[in-house]
Amino acid sequence: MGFIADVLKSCFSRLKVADLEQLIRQWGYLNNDELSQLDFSKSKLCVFRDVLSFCEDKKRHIEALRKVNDLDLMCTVKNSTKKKWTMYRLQDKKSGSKENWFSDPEKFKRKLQQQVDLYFDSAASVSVTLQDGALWCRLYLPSGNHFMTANAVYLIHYPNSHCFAISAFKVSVQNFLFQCLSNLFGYHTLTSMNLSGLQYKSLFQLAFNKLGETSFGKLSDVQSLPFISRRKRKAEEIEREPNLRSEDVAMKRHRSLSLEAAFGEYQQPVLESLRFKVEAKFMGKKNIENFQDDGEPFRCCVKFEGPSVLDGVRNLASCGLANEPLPKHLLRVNSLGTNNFVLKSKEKS
Amino acid sequence: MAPGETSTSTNRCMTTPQTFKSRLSHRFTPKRFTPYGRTPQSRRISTAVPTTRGRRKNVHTRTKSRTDSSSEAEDLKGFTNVTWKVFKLSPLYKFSSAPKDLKRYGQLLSSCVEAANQKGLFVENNVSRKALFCVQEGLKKTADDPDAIQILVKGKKGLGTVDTVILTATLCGVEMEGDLLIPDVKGHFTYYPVLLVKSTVAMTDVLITWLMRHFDCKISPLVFPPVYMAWMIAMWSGALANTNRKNKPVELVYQVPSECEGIKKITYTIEAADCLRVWNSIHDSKSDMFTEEEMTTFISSLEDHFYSLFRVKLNAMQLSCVGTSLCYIGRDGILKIYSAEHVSCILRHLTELSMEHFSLV
Repeated sequence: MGFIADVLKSCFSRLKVADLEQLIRQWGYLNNDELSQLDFSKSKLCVFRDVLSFCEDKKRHIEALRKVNDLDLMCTVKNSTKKKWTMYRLQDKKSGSKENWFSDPEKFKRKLQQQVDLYFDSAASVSVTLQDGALWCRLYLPSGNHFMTANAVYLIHYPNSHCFAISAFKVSVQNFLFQCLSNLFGYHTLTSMNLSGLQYKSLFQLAFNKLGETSFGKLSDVQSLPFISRRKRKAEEIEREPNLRSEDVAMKRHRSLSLEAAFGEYQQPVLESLRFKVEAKFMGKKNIENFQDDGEPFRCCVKFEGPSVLDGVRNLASCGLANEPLPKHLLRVNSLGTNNFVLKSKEKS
Repeated sequence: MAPGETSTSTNRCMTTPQTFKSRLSHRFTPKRFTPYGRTPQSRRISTAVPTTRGRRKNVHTRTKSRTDSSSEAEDLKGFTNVTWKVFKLSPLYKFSSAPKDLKRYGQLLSSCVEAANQKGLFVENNVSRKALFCVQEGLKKTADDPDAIQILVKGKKGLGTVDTVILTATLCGVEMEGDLLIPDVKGHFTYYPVLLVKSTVAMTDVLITWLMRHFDCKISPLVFPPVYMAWMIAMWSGALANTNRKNKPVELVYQVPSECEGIKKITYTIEAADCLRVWNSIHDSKSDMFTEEEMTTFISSLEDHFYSLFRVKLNAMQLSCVGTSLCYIGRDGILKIYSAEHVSCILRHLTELSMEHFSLV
């Protein structure tokens, strides 16, 4: 029961007080009598102790363990932005593999459990749920008797898409884990897309923009995909006050139109960071008289960070902190499907 | 122009007729006549204007007094890989570095920390806390430097028997050029320009409050405006490039103005060797001194390169943190030193910056 207590404690520590009651009810493990005995106005610690005592009273250890694993997955679904997700692409489909069972979470779970049992200890557990059209999986790969959050790996996959998002995992389990997933999805190769962030829907949108198609061919109705953002950007107000007149209205309007042509009228996918590794000729030598140009590239790394970097790049131009036209490697992030770039000077032949 | 001195060019242009006598002096000066004389020294208010602008900065990374030795680097190893908060101080009244006085200060600080503990200021409930004052070796470089003092507060967590260090602080002044204290008061005051503290916010506040009350001084954070950080980048960006060790890259962190929503900061990291190549193109490596113009050219050339890649104007943003192979410095007075051999060099520069705020006339 110590393991169950550890998992429950981990769940409660991640949940906000406001979300606690709704999630416990949604969980469905406690019956109505037990739910009525819980006092959610008390502290989380009190509620945790009551829930733990109910789990211990049931005296069905295996079922209790399975249920708290499900609760842990529900907490992760609720707080998906607390995890950093990395996108992987599925390539080289295996002959004879079928994907028509991916939409059924129970079948998916059985298939995944079979693969996990082949490569890992039988104590490894699997939980699967379907949320907003996506399959959410939790794999717990134990290393010791105590629960450790680092041993839990979470995975998100939209059925019929050629990519999936995965949370952080230990390097020691990577080979076996990827072999499991390769067999499960029916693809030989799992390739990193160099795309990571906290908002999984934005990551899938960027991945889809690059990959552009599913196993059924290009979808004609892109807007119906659950991860595609359909919100238009808030229009810029050039003149706010009736008594104030801007002197450069024409310039601002022109800039606004050109930015709309470059970035579109919809909100950009949310990325927290954009990283560029640059190896190019040094181009800051206009004020340096005796620059030692030995042909070696000037190596630097640039990282843009913020709550929504793609919107931020657009706003840099609208605020006048960047000049237009912006370079292609900033404008095309949406279609390139990655947030880690390498820029190199073209070699002269 | 000093009073009494005249401009020869103006003397040719303007002559006072012999028949005309006025209240003005016969010698023409460009100054306008006022009925007031020079403000007496006793009534002058000291200013806190930094005087780095336009000044030539010494680019030494070694100390002037003696060469760095491995034993000295060993003494100062405790300063490395620790995040310090830097403070500047006014002179301490009646401070003594004699062993019996340091012991007394330790007892007084211990009782003050215990009183704060009774008030519930600390989150952790340590059983006992004890403060120790001792002389820090390796930081007194010249005769003008005071003995560097290390302050430790140790405590035992719960029922444990092992002491853990809760606070580490160092009072120091390294290669202090000249004496800011006038001879009349020199016997009563000891000037430590720099205080480094590593501890929790609550414990740091207790130490600073105690120092200010006990020694009648003023302690405030030593903030580093962007121009100071630009100087540090120019000084130290290539400091270790001649050794066999792989140098940490030069890092410039720019804070994006809040009106640009979506991006908070831009981190610009440059390989140390490439940075040194640019610096050597601007500054003659044989010369020990470099000017503000060279520093400005260096920073603007890095920003121009960034602009050519991204068309983003870094010069419209402010530097918030800079990192070199020697140290990492944040605008709010955060310091992390990586190289034990250059601790004295960095503290010397901090001493200089602190002393500029308290130049007494």
